[in-house]
Amino acid sequence: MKTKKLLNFCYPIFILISACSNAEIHWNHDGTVTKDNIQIETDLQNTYTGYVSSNGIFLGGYKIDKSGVNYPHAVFVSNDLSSNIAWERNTEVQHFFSYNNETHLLDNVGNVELFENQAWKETSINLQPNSIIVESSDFIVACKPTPLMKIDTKRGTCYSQENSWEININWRKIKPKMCGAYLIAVDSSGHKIIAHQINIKTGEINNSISMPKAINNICSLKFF
Amino acid sequence: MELHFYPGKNLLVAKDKTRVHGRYEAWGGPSSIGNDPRMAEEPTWPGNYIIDKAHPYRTNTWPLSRITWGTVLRDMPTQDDVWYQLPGNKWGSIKNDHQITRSEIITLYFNLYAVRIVPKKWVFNDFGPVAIRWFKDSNGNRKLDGNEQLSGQMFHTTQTNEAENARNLPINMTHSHGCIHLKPKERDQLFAIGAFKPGTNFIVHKYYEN
Repeated sequence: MKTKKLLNFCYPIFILISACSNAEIHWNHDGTVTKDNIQIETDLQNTYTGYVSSNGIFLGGYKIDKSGVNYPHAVFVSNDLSSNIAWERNTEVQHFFSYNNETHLLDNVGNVELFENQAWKETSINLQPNSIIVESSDFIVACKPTPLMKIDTKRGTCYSQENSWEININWRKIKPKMCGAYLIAVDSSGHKIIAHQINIKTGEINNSISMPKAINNICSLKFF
Repeated sequence: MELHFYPGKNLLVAKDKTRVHGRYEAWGGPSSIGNDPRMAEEPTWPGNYIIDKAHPYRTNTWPLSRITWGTVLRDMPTQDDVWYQLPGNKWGSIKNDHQITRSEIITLYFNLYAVRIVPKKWVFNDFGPVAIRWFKDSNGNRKLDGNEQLSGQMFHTTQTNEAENARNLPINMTHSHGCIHLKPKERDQLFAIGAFKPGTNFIVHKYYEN
């Protein structure tokens, strides 16, 4: 594991600004992880998702060989940066999330794996490919974007397998998001843009509003 | 040379007064309006048309078609991005400009070509490398003029069929949103026999016609 010191600008002002010594662990797109002005390299040359847990940070990304071939990996780096584990995968990590107080991984084909004893274990949870998790406190609510390809006729949806509901939402740019107790999802079909406020226990639409144009901060929308 | 498309038979015939030059598999839209929320599928409208031109097509309607087929790409893994070449040797960010991520591009390419790389060129445009356009000749002068417009329906291949062709796999044809899907090799054959020469008569028959 290669380690290098970042700029030592904190040291001269250490006494004055103690926040520098408590810097949080964070990840960078080049595969490095930084904490307390220490930067370490991981096996990754590209990181596209990260998740900070109590013990360290989980990364999803690619190891890239000299000919430009990308190998999907999951990586864990401990909080003290001393441990750096990489798992080569057959599928891309979509993202990491907490469920039942355990760290889980969702991949791009919809498999959910549990992190246990420094290894990833299959679970019985299978979501739809390309889904993202939008809620996992008590039960999982996931959304799948409308496909990129014109010839792909699958639909964008939000759904909860545990609560047995699914609703078609044509979304892509604006990711559905929990805003308070409700899931807000913006459907763009044809020239209409409609934001839906969805009850995540039942899948019922509580309220909907038309929008003249798409906005990113969907939690600022007012539903009457 | 005349082109005759029989949408109910997935058949395109190139012929002249004396003989049939070739028969080609070609898939149009469905026979009735569909329910794709992005843009409803529609039938390929019957009528008499004139072939106008062939060109690489781009449109903002479909995310992968906002970039022209063959546009040069530059992999930027440390920025988690892929850049695409703009006029004047400038570069744009696909992530910022088109909201398509590097990992989505790698996954798209993997699904098409079975290897996880960022390709050197954009090979994801839904309309393939070239679209062949036609128009309804309202004033009968065989030229696109006056109030005449190019049809939004056109001949083209798909990125999936292009990949299958490049990999020598069987070509799995699908219905379009109203355009006419061709097989890549047969598109090239049609060009070679002059079937897409500007001014060529093109007849779309009704779905029940044989």
